[in-house]
Amino acid sequence: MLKAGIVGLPNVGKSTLFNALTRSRKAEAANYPFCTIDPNVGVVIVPDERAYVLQKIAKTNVVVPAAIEFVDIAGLVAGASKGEGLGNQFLATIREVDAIVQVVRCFEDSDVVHTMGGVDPVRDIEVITTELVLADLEAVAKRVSKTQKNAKAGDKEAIIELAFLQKLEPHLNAGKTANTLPATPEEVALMKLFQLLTEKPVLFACNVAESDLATAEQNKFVQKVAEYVRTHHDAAYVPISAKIEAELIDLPPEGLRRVRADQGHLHPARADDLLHRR
Amino acid sequence: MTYFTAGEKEVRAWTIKQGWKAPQAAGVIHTDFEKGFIKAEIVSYEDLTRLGSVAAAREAGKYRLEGKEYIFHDGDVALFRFNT
Repeated sequence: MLKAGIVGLPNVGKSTLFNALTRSRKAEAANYPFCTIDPNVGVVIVPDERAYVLQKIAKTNVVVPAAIEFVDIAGLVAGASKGEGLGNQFLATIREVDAIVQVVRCFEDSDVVHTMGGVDPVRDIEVITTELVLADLEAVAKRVSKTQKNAKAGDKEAIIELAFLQKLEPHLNAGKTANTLPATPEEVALMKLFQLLTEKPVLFACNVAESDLATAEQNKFVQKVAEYVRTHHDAAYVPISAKIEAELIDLPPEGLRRVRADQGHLHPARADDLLHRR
Repeated sequence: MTYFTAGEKEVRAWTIKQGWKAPQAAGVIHTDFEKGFIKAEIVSYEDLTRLGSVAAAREAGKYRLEGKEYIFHDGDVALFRFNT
């Protein structure tokens, strides 16, 4: 099963989104930093009506939909790679997932504490990215010293690996993520072995205010994220309103569809979209 | 993205990453499928649903026999042949 981790700064709506996605109230979502300590885990069925069409053709009674395991990881702060906040423990949790959903705050609400002072999604993305890059740099440095020994001894594989590591290190040092490094398929396969955090695909979930959802693409914060993602990341973004999604969790799927059809403004940002953009 | 397996026993959706080749996609079901991958029989969701049955799709020649280099598409309906 595919595993996705929800990350982001404290208080951007990660747990709210997690609850919405998993249609549960498993994660305690509250307006204070580090509300989540141990990561919450939930399994989400990926809604796909095609499976039921095929069911009729295959004449079977059993449909097993695809599922994604979501891990709601606690808030990350600057310095996490050095153990700040809840630090290394989270980086370890991120290491285990296949994909990262980064929630960025694109709503202004003076009632919700922003740990960095003000709303600035690009800065927030950079803070998180920096932490992940730093953690990777550490891993790469360790790997370099280990391979160097073997390379000196004439180990052919180690020589290839070392050459690649020496290409990777300055790339990370420049603050860029591993998945933006131009690499050959062999190098990509090699990189998988390093288990880097920034090698994983990322989806940015722009958490916008309820009232901005219909016009999310015009939201200045979302636009900034879109621009930034285009130039700096190999990633996608999707606007959502975790709050609305969370309010809809008690509706059955059919009811949900109706609400979305009725209220055009809910349509562009569905948590389901997030699942399908993987 | 998703591909399907459909049979009398069950219809099942499988999650894979874009750009995955057939053996990799088969490996999601069981690693033996990847190791012993021979061929995959593929029909697109659109073709299968338009024609309405497996037999009709076969008759129309919409079932393709794909090898190790085949890159999966979203909605492919697959049957794998493997040997361990």
